[in-house]
Amino acid sequence: MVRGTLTFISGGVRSGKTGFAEEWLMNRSCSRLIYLATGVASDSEMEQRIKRHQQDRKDYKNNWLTIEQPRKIEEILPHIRPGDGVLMDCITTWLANELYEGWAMDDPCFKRENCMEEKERRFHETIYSLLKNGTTLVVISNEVLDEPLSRIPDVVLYQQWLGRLHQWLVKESDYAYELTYGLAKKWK
Amino acid sequence: MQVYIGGANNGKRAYVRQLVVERDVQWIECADYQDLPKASAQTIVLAGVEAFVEHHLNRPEELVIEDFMETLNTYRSQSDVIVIVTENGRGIVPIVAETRELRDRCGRLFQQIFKEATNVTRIWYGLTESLK
Repeated sequence: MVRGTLTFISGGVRSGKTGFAEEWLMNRSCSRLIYLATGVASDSEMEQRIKRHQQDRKDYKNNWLTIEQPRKIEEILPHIRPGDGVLMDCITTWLANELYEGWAMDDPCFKRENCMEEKERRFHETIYSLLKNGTTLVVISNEVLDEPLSRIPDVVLYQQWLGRLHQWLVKESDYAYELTYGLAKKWK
Repeated sequence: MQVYIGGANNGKRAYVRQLVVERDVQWIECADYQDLPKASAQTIVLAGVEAFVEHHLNRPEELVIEDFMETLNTYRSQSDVIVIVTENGRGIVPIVAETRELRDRCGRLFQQIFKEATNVTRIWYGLTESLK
């Protein structure tokens, strides 16, 4: 099995990341196109954003299969076949879902020892498995670290984890792009 | 003088650390000092300049810039200097006035540092882009 490829795409809000990533994948010869959605429709605003992305996918000539997986990305592995194209959208929502998991029970992951480290390890393993399986993988994230660090410790922790994940993804990636309102800078 | 800039947690220090690993280096974290220390190593790394600006927020800006540039020039007269600054001017305007002031002051100081720098390099999650 030929190793798959990892592409990292980041950019500001509404900079065209998803559209660019979808086009990128549709121009590859993937056996199936899978949209891995990590966002949760927690309110009407998020619902609208999700609807817009869903409509965009319907308008393409290619069919997209959507898997909603807000946490535990490893659970998609049994559903992925060799040669699939997978678009994970996005790291920022996935990280929030994992880091604050347990919040409602007053026991969030970030307060439990090694909780996020363990999730990070499983995330790395999942990416490696997908690549080994010949997946054309595209991972989207957001540029949110170009402002003063938050004064709120829980947010600082989020900023640290996000930077750490981005650095790992860029290091492991075959291609890395930064989007500015539809324009893509190829970093790698 | 080499300057490295990038957002928070983008791997700036890790990048510079591997650059200077073989050298006689004095690593100065601005967060650790009110006033910058004397230094004389072959290479001086001055990291986190935004912390210096933050420590001196209650003084007139001109004096703070003057102090900083004077110390920087002293370092440069005897050592190779590497400066690390954190990008903090590309987010939403902060609600807290003090944070706005910090951001503005950093921007003006960074402009001066960039002007005098031989090279300016942006770090994006460990990758580099030459700006100057």
